[in-house]
Amino acid sequence: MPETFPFLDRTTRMLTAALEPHLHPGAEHYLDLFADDAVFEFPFAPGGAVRKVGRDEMAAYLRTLEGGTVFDELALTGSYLGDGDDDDAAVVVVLEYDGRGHDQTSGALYVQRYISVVHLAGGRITAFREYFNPLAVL
Amino acid sequence: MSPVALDVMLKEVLGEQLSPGVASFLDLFADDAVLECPFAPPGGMHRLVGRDAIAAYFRELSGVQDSDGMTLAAVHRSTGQQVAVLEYHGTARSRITGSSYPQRYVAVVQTGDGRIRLFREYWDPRPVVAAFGGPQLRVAQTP
Repeated sequence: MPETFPFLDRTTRMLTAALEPHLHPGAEHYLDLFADDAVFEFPFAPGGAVRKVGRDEMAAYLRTLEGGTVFDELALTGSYLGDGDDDDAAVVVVLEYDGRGHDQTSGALYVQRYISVVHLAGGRITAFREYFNPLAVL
Repeated sequence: MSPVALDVMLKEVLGEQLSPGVASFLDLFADDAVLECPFAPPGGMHRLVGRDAIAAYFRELSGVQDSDGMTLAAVHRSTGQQVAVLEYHGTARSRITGSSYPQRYVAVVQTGDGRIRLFREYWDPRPVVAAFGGPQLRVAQTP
């Protein structure tokens, strides 16, 4: 039973809506979206590029983000479905979105912008590369 | 694959989505094209409209930094939407401080009628600030 990471529930809903035709229907929590061996990257993370392989490594990393910022709004601003094979076995979707939230301790406003390159196969995300502005991170 | 100039990379990637007559870098852009750098540092250029403004920006940029060219890492084409998303990286050198900095880019490039209508380039502001002490070029307008 994977951890649920409730602070990412809004992100999960946004990603589920954006990627719906390519995702298995049972995803409730963030890690449910990902394949067991998914590659997860934050190239512009404040402490240096983050790269995690597999849901276990992801979970350990996400635990370090718990208690930090949480989103109150997430709005998809762009969605581009890559040209793929007709069999739809693997697809790439690029998403742009804006987030507005707050720090759970200080209450400080958090405004962020994202572009993510998302690879999917078999109803799950196999690679997720999310770029955001490190200068906006609280 | 050795690094190439940005316009060479764009022409290669966009191929037949560009008018056959496109020759110079600025030919790539539509008259009313939009250039955006959403992650530019405070005081830097975040958005410009129009080929003339874009031309002036790139001219000024080439006055303050040298690029060693770009290496394409991935292209995601959405032909129906006339969009290509490019991931690439390169090294540039500040002519002001002499510092070189590595950079990683993601660009959303939308074409129409044989020209680029939107070039939205995301990159990490930190190496720019480290090399220049701020944005490459200061602009009056705010995002």
